[in-house]
Amino acid sequence: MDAKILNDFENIVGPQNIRRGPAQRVAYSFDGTFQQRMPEAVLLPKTTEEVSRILALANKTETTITTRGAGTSLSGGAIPTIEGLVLDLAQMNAIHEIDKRNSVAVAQPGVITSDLHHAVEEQGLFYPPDPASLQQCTIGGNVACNSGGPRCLKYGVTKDFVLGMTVVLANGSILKLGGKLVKNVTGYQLMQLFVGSEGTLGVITEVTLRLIPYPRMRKTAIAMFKSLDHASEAVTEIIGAGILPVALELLDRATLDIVTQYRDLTFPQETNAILIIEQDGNDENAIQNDIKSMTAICREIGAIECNEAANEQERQAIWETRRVASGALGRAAPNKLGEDIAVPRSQIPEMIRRIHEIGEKHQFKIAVFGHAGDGNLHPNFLFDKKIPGELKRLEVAASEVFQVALEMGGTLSGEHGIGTLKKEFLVNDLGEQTVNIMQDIKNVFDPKEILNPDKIFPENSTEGFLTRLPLLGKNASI
Amino acid sequence: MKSTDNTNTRSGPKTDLLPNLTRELANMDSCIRCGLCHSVCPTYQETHLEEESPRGRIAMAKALTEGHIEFSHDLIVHEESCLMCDACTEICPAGFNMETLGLALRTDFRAQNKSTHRINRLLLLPLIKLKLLRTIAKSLHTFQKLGLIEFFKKSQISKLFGAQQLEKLLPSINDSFLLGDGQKWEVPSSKGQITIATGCVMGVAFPNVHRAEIRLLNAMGYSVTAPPQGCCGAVHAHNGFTKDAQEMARSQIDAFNQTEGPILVDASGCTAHLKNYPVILRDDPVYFEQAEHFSKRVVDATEFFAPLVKDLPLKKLPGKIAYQDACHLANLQKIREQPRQILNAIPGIQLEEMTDPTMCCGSAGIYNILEPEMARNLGRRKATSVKETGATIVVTTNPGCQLQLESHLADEQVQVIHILELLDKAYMYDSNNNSDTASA
Repeated sequence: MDAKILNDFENIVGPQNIRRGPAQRVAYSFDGTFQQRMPEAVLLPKTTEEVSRILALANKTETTITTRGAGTSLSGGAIPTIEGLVLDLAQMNAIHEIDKRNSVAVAQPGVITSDLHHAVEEQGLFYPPDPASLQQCTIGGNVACNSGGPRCLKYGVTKDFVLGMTVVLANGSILKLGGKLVKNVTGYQLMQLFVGSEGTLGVITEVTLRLIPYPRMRKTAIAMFKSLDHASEAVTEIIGAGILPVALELLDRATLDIVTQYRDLTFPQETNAILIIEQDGNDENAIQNDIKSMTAICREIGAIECNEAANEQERQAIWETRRVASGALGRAAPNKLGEDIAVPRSQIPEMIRRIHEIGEKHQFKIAVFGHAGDGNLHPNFLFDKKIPGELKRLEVAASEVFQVALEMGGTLSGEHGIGTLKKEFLVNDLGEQTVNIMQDIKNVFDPKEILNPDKIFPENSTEGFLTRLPLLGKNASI
Repeated sequence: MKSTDNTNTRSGPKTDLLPNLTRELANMDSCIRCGLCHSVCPTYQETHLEEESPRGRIAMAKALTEGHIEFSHDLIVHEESCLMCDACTEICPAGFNMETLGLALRTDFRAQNKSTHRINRLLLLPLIKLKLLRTIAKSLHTFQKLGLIEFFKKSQISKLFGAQQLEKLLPSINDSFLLGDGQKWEVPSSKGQITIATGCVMGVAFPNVHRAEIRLLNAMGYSVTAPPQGCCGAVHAHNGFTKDAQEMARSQIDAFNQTEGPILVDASGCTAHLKNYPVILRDDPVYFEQAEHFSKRVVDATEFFAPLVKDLPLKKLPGKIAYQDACHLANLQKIREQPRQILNAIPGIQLEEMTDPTMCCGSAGIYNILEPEMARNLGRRKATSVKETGATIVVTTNPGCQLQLESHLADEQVQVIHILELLDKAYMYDSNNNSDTASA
C-alpha cells in the first residue's frame, strides 16, 4: 500500500491507534481457525465517525478492509486474506444503555458477550444467545455472524434479538436501522441483511438488542449413554414429545476423552456419549416436570445414568464440559477443523452415523459435539497440517460431510458462518440463482468490493478448498 | 490491491539463533487460537489489544521462530509486557504453557541482546553472591537509619544508576534480617525437622514472616533449620539471565543437600521457582536428577499448614479480610484452597472474596520496576477490588504482592499482611504445651 495512503488512515485514528509493526500485524493475522495472513496495518477506531472516515477513504483508494471483533471466528471470516487493513473494533466496548422500561440494551460492537450478559442480568434481564466463546467473543462479531449457542434452541439465535443498529456502509455513509421497537414492518427488513453478513456489507458500530426477563430458575441434568445412537435418538424423542428445553447438548466419546484430561470429570467406563439437558423458567414444578420427562425418555432409550446438578457449582461443572470442548480438542492433535453443519432434527442419528463412516473411510479421528436439540452438529476433524497430503485428504472427507448434510435437507453452517472455509460450497447449498441474488445485494452495498473480500462467495472449484487457504509463510505475503 | 503475493523471502527458521524458542514450537503449536486466554490475561483486560494477549504473544513468538518475521521493537515490547502470571496456562483448554515459553523468550532475547528491559546484571549480583547480599543489607540498613535514602532520592544520584523506579519499591530493611546461615531452632522431643528456605528479599525485608514461621513450627513441635543458602534465582530466570539462574539452582540444591525432609518456603514466587528446578536444569546431566529430588521436597508454607490448622489453638481475630491469590501460588502451583483453609480456620475471621481474585496485582517479580505503567494500572485495579470487599486486612503469601499492595493501599485503612504473620497472631502460644517460643 502506498505510504501516503497509510498515513492518511493513520491521521483518522491517530498514531496511538494504528499498528504497523511486523509483530503487531502477526497478532491480527488469524482467527479461531488454522489460517493466517498478515494485514498491512491494523486500525483501532473508537467512534462511528472514525469508522465512517476510514471506510470513505478505503472506498476512494480501493483499500480492502477486514473487520474484526475479537478474532474468534471459526470460519476464517476475520482473516485479512487479501492484502489491506484490519479494522479492529475491540476498543469500541462501551455498553451505552440498559433500558429496563423498553427491555433493550444499546452497545458498541466490541463489548464482550459475557460482559453484556452480566450487565443485563444485574438488572434482572436476559440476553440468551450464548456462543461457546462468550467469554472472549464480541457482540459485534455475534451480530455480524448471527451467532448461536446452546440456549438458542429455546430462545432463538442472535438475529432474533437485534432490534436496531448503526452501520457504516462501504462509502462511509452512516445508516441507522430499526430502534427500540419490538414490532417494525416499515419497508424491507434491511437490518436483517447485515445480521450474518460477516462484514461484507457494512461495519456495525452500534447495536440495540432485545432483552427478556431473566428466568428465575434453571435445572440441568446430564445423561450418559452407551452409544451415540442412543443419545441422538433421545434427542429426537425429546423434541418429538413436545418438550422445548433451553438446551440439549451432545458430546461424543472422543470429545469426552479429551475434556476429561483437562478437567477433573469422570464418566462411567462404558459411556460413549452424553447429553446435557437444561430447562429454565419461573415455575419450579414445570421445570422439574420437564427434566423428569426428559430423563425418563433418556432412561427408556438406555441411558446408563442420568444425574441432576444439585447446585450451581455442579451445574457450572457440567456446562464447563461443553464450553471447553472445542478448545480441549487442541490437546488431541496439532490442528482441528471444526465443522458446523445443521440438519433437520429427525436426521441427527443418521447424520452422526454417516460422519463416523466418513471418518473411518478417510482415517480421520472425528470428535462430534454440538447443539443436537436444534440439529446443529460440530464434527471436528483432528489433523496435522504439517503432514504432507493431510489437508488434501481432509478436503475430501470434509466435502463428503457437507454433501451428506445437504442430501438430508441440511445446511453448511448452523452458526459459524461461511467465511473462507465453506465458500466454495455455497452454490451446492443455495443454488446458483440464490447466490447470484446475494452477489447483486453485495454489489449494491459494496460495489468496489472493499469490505471483507474473498469471503462467503465462491471463486474456485470445491477441489482445493482447504489447500488454497492462506497459511503464514506458505502462500501469504507477509 | 488484490494481488496475491506468493513470494516468501524470509530466511526460514532461526534454529541456531533461538535455540530455546525452537524447543517451544510444539508448545506454541498447541494453541488453537480460541482466545479464551483473553478473558483472564491482565494485560489484555487492561488494553483489549491482541498483541497484549497470550494468543497474540504466542503467534508473534511463533512467527519469529519460524522465520516469518525478524526481531523488531514491537515484538520485544509486547512479549516483554507479559507478567508471566500464568493465568493463561491455567485456563488454556489446549494445554499451552506460558511459563516455559516465557522463559525461552527471555533467554533468547537476552542472549541476542534484544531485551528492552535494561537490567544491569551487577544489580542482580548480590542475589547470586549471598555474602554480598548480607553486606548490602547491612549497609542499606545503616543507610536508612541515617536517613540517607531521602538524600539519595533528592540527589539525582539514582538517575546515574537508572534506579529511580527501583528506589520506590526498595523494601525497608528490617532491623533484624534473617538470612539462612546454618541457624537451628530446636525443640525438645521434636516431631521432626523442617528445613526452611529464607530467600533473599524475604529474609531482608520480611524477616518477621520467617520468624512467625519458625515460632509456629516450633510451637507445633518441629525443629527448624536454615542451612547456609542463597536466592532461588527466580528473578534471574524470568529476566533471561538463564546461566545465572542455573548456577543459583545448582548452589541451592547443594545448600540443602545435608538436610532431609520438607523444605518449607514462605514466599510463593520462590516456591514456584524452586519447584521448577527440573525445568531450569533439564539439560544438566549432573544436576537434573538431583533437581527432581529437590523439587519434590519443596513445600509452600500454606500447603504445609493447611491440613494441620484445624488442630491448632487459635484465638479469635475478628474482622473482614480479603485474600489475594499470588499468581505463582494459584496458577503455577494450583494452590488456592489451602490458604483459604488456613484463613477460615481462624475464629472470627470473615473471608471476603474479591471479584477477580486471580487477577495479577502487577508486581510479578520486578515487573513493577520494568513495566511501571502497566504495573500501576493493575495495582490500582487490585486496590479497587480489595476496597470493594470492605475488608480491613488483605492477606497475601508473596513479598512482591505485599509490596505492590502496600504501595497501592498506602492511603487506605487496609493493612497488608503475610498469611503466616496472621496465623502467628492468632496462635495462642501460652495454651500450648509444646510452647517453646524459640529465639533466633
